[in-house]
Amino acid sequence: MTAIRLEKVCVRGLREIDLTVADGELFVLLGPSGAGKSTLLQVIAGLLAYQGRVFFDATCIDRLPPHRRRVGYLFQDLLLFPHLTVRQNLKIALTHLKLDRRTRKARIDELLERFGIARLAGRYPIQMSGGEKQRAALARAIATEPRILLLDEPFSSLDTDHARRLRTELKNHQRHLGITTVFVTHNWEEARQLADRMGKIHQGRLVADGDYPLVEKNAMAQAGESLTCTAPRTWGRRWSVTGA
Amino acid sequence: MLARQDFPGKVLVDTLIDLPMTMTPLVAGVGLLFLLGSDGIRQVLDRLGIQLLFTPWGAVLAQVLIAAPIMTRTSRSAFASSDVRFEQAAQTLGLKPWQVFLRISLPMARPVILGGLVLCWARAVGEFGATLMVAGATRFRTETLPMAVYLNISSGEVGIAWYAPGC
Repeated sequence: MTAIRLEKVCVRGLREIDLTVADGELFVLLGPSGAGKSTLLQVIAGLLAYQGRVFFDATCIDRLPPHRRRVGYLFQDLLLFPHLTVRQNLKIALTHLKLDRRTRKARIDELLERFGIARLAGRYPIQMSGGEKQRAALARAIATEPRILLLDEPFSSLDTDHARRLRTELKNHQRHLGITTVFVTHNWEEARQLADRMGKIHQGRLVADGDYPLVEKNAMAQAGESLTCTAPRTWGRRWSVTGA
Repeated sequence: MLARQDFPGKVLVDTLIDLPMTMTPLVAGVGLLFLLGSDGIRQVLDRLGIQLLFTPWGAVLAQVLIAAPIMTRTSRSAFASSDVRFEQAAQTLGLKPWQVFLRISLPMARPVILGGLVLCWARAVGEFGATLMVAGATRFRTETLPMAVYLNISSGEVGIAWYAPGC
């Protein structure tokens, strides 16, 4: 698999982001709405022009267009193609792998089974529930055999129980595939359940980066401090707990 | 391209495409007649063995000139209103730009484009002024539907003129 390294990445709303995500790690990026989380994912996927440098392992990929970066991207709105069935959505994700028809069909069947959506293969997105669409979109993102998986608040529209169950499934898939993953959320509960390591982003700056308990502890300390001073000021302060 | 990209001269291209829609068809037809009849272009067409003026192909050209802007305008608004994030999603799935266009953008815009095609066809079928100027009104040669009505009315065959649109 692949490690990600960002060096001084600047783009609309993001200011000099330095970030490293280790090979096979599930990194959770936490922050309030408008903090720049999704923008950071778009930078990694190559969907936005940016300043700074992005590396996959030791290779700088700044000049690679999105279709050559081999990044699996699960968008917040899922973006399953509405004119295609689930099977066709998966088939289109396998286009660039240039598989023969039999191998492609076997691969699609395996994905449908693994994500528990075999019975939905012939359905269009509009005929599916929120949870079913999440599974189909995740299967499609993984179908491309990506080096990196980017997940943009994929469970934010689901009820708590359903979201928890899908998070467990996601964690299992991620462990099974050993794929380097960046998961964006504004939900501490999601971060706690998923993170191998996490970062906190606020107003375009990475203000914390470390293991979950330490980031949470620092955040709580900051929140406590904020009760005796002006609350918003503490969000913007930078600290590092990596290796603490 | 007109819907998604900026390039030098975009406004000019846009205006030129829309121009026939804003002009009286008769005037557009006169313009096309003078253009195709000018020495330079006529010589080139003659050398290529292409006859346009006062032929059925001239009628087709006049209809395209008048109706094509409807198609361009409809397609443009179809692509401009479709969610660009679907195209981004397709790119992250490894699809090259032309594959994204053929397999995602075009099928998603298809209903609006089909609507535009119907409008375009209806406009072309009913085209009169420009066709008259470029192709003339010759029975059984450049006799489009409106031309048939015109020819029959002018020769006093009112019954046939009424019958023609119904055939």
